[in-house]
Amino acid sequence: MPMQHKICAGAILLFLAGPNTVDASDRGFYLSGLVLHDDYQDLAIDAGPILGDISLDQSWGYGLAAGFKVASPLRLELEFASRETDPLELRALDIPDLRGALEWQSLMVNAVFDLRLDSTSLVPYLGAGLGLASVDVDRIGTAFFDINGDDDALAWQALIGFSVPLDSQWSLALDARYLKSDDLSVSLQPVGVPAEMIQVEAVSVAASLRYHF
Amino acid sequence: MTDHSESRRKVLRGALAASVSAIASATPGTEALARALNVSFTHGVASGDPLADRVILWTRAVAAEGAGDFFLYWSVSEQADMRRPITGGLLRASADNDWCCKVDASGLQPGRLYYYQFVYRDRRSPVGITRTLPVGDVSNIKLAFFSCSNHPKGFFNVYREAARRDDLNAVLHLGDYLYEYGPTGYETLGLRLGRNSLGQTVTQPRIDQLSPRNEIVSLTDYRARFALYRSDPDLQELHRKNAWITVWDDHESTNDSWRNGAENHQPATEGPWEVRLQASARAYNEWMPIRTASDGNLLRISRAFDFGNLARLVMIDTRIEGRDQYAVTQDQFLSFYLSARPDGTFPADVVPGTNTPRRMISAAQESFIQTQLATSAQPWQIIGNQTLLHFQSAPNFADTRLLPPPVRDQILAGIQQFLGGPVGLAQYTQLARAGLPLYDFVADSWAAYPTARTRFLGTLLQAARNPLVLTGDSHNSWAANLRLPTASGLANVGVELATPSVSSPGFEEALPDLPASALAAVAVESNTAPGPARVDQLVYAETGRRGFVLLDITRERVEAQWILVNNVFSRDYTATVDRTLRVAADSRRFA
Repeated sequence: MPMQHKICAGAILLFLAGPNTVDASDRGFYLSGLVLHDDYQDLAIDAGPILGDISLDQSWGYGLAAGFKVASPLRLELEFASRETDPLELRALDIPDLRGALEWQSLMVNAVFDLRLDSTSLVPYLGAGLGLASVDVDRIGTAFFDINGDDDALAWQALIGFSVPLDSQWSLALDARYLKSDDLSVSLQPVGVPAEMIQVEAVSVAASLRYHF
Repeated sequence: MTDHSESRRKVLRGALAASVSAIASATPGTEALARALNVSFTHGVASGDPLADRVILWTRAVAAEGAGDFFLYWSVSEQADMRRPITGGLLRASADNDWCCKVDASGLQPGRLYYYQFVYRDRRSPVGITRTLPVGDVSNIKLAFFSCSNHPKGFFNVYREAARRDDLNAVLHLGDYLYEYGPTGYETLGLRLGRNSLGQTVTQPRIDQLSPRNEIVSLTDYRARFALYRSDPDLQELHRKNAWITVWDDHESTNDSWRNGAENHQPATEGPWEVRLQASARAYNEWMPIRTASDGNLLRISRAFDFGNLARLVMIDTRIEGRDQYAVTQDQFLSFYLSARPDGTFPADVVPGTNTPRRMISAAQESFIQTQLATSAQPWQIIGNQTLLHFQSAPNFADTRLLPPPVRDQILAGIQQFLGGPVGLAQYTQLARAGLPLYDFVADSWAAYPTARTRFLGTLLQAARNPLVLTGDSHNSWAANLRLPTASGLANVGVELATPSVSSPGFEEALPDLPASALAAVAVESNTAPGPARVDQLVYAETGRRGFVLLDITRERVEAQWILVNNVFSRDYTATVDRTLRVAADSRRFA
């Protein structure tokens, strides 16, 4: 089962297990900083003569989120994240050591459900987000050709994790998330052939430090 | 799209954009280019015109009917599995080029074997093999050269035999890569009689495949004929495995062509010669892995190649670029030689009405050749030539002592039949005794341009250290010492090595009643004994079998093998080395 499916399944199971009570320390507003470690799915390239997958390196990203509790157990977050990764290999053509970079920023609205477990101070949560991804496919390819272009596309993500209160105002959270963009419009250069069906998919581990107001 | 990143990429793309502006400017609707097409690589792959750092790569990619232009990905690798390509790119396939795709793959290392492939999505061409030219110290090279491949006349067993080899630095083709005729355009006496002098049943085993079914005249015709020839699996394989260096002869346009016309071109019914010539040159440029001249002139194909410090190859065009009309009658031809002065001038050899000696090649090409030979520091200078350069008199069967009288009489009867009766035989005998050639055999060759020929031999003598003249056209195997009268006596100029045809009929089919071995023996005898017009020395002849010549070149010597097949009428054949000849460096003659 792919990682993103596992995350979704886990989130659903956790949700079905049922929320108990919300952590008493949970407050209305919070800010958090995120560090992300991303494991990308291959980029599926369909551009004129080039049909194949480009593997992407694992990478680190960062983000900021502002959230508030709407109604127990629901939180809403506005999350910005920025990521950049390097291409590795165009598999179908056996071209290693690709050049270029994939840079992307996402602005997501996340709906997060906190689930209280009586036996522990850990607060599991699961959530889903919808937003916009601004992706720059920056000359990914070789000295002979590359996939190039930037585009904005809808994106969605699912996440599951837990938080740990550190004190009355700070908490630490760790989650796994799956993020996917809609189709991006880029092109095969230098000939300008449109490249179809490029979607960015990543499975990430995010660690965040929250400050609760 | 965001404007800021677009402007950044514009800067980054600057250099690349300049190099592909021609492609981009011609790009049709890009959406159309992105459509997934049903693409086939219909005619294999080919490479040619290798240099030390580059080579022309070729394929033909055809999409379903009605498809517009599309792009291919091509790559070059040092690995047969095409992993880790060292260069590559995108290449347009277009109906404008008959879907033929060529790229000059650069950035390669000298003297290396490379693999290459073309890809369209999940469709891949065969993996081709090519070699760049070596630089610096080179101790040995091997070349194979060919000419006169006629698809209807036989199977390309000669190509098949050569394709078995893995040791060739390059394959040379000296012209008549294809023939222009329709189904009935090339009839031999042997075909009419259904037999040849080897006792074989003569057929045209692939005449039913001929496409188009007419003499080729238009661009469409020439393209279709190339497509037929390149559908042959043996030809495809020899192309796939080797870098080719080619020149055309007459049949790539039409029989006995020259710059302003051809024997087999009738303007009244076939249109202006220039139109036909341009069509043939365009198809040749599309279908052959040849580097287009820098000025885009498709009619300029003379060029040079260096094999390190061992040999320089100069490919010349004696057919189109500068050739005046051939001698149109036997009387005109004979007048050239009968009027020759002791100083070697030929006052009769003039273009009618101009009083200027007739040219085989232009002054510009003569200068190019002279420069290439004079600046060659290598021990060997190889000239890729079309028609026979050595002067070959007709075999003197009437006076030969090599044949028993019954055989001799049988041969003379065959010649009489070939030449239409006793008068023809009498004329032939007169020519042979005078040491003159048979007009039908040499009217289109260097011998019919005696002033140009003498000048060319002079260039070889003065500018080249060890000239090897490689020749096609005649369909038969010859080897000759080229000599030139000088003030200090008869000088050895160099050697001529003539390859037999790949499948075009030789004398075994033109003269089916004349034993090929006897003809060859008497030809050598007649061209070795002293005679009034004889200067060159024929040292080897074989006129019954098809084949190719393999050259093994070292600094000290050249070894040439005539590798012949016993049959072209079926795909079953055996190949043998008929003769091996050597030329020692600085000897300018066969050992």
